[in-house]
Amino acid sequence: MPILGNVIGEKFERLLAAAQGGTGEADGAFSVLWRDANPALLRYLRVIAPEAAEDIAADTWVQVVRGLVSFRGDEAAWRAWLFTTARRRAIDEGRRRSRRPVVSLPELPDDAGPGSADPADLVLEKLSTEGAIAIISSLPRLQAEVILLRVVAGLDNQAVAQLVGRSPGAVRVAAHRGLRHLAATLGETTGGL
Amino acid sequence: MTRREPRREKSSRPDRPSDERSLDALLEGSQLPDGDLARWQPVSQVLTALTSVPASSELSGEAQALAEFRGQPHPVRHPGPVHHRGQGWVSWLRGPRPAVAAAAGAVLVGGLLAVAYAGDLPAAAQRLAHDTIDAPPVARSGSAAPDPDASQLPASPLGTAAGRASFPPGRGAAHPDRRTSRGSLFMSPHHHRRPGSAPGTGGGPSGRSGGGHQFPSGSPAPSGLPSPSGLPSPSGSPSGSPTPGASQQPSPSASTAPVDGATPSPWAAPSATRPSGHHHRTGASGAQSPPP
Repeated sequence: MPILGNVIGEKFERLLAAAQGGTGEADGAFSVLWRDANPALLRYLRVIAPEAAEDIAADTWVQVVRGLVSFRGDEAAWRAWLFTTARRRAIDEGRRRSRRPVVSLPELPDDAGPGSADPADLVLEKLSTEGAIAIISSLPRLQAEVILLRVVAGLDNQAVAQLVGRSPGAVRVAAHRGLRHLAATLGETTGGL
Repeated sequence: MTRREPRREKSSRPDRPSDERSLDALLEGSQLPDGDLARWQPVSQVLTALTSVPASSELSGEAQALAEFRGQPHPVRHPGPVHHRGQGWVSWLRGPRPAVAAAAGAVLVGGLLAVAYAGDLPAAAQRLAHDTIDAPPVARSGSAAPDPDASQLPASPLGTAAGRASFPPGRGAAHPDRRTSRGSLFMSPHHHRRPGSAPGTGGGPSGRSGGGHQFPSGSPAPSGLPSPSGLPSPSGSPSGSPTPGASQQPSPSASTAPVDGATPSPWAAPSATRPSGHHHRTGASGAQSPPP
């Protein structure tokens, strides 16, 4: 049972109105919204932009805070807006980094990042969030992204299709392929043991 | 051998619908079918780990986000349209729009000045321009006078090559382009009529428009153009005799006089020494009213 995604539920409308209204409850309401969405946002960004996930998340919230007053919609629309903003920021960051490539430090240990070690081993040794992110990161980009948007962000197929600019059918096929790929990777690992 | 592998996949197609149901169930977080539970269990564990309880590191940026949220201007917290209005003006002044507005204003003022010096403004505006910026005065004859002139002078002698040829050689050859541009800029019916209709009564030779306007003494024309014999001194014309005297006589004879060359015009005088230019000027009017 997923913990992230659609966890606010019926209270969302009241929380959003309080955050938008700027009353005394605004800080608390915004804090609830942030605590609900930021972990999912970070997990998504750690897959699609692992080098600058925290920075992009902070930029995303700055952008969201600026447009919060004018936002209209339910919780699904809120999450779609949040992840769309994050995705655009990640694309901008990727372009910026391609113009100015960052050279990694040679003294960093090899197992510093989640994607450095064998992801399947990480999952089997310790099925933590970091290990799951690592094995999802081994998938092709579109497959990993649509799986994260469906599972972590809690978006439906239509919203994910709109977000990534593909047809709903293509998104569904990509998600299924990614899961099969994941199953094959995990099956090979467990079979080898 | 390798071609048979797709056939093997084709034979497993009947499993696809249940496969896809399981995959959709995994994506939606619903319960897996009983038969596929063991098969998809590792994948389900990965997806569950992706949605696990947030770690403390994932919530460490809350203070920063809250600070950003508090620092954001809010409609309830910061009411005050005057403040926003001031910001709008400041941002407007910082943008490129002031330069565009200044350029547009300069073009507008320049156009108005050109029209005013051409004498084409409405009567009241032309009077005001005459009083304030020494533009040509209002022609009182109104619309009666220009018609015969316009029909008899279809083209300006200054605006054509023949007109340029009628200039004194020393001057016309020196700055032919400048004279052409000036002549074409200020060629209005008033300018054809005024020098000829009342030569010496305000139509002194002027370098700008053929002498039709009473420019102040600073205009370069009186000193730059030849002064024909028989004409009063150009320097005395602006203040000595106003143009209404000329415009009050809208008779065709008065208006056609300079065209026929009977009254020496400042432009016609040099042409007396150059028959080609004279021929051009009379030819334009002679087609309609041949000289007796």
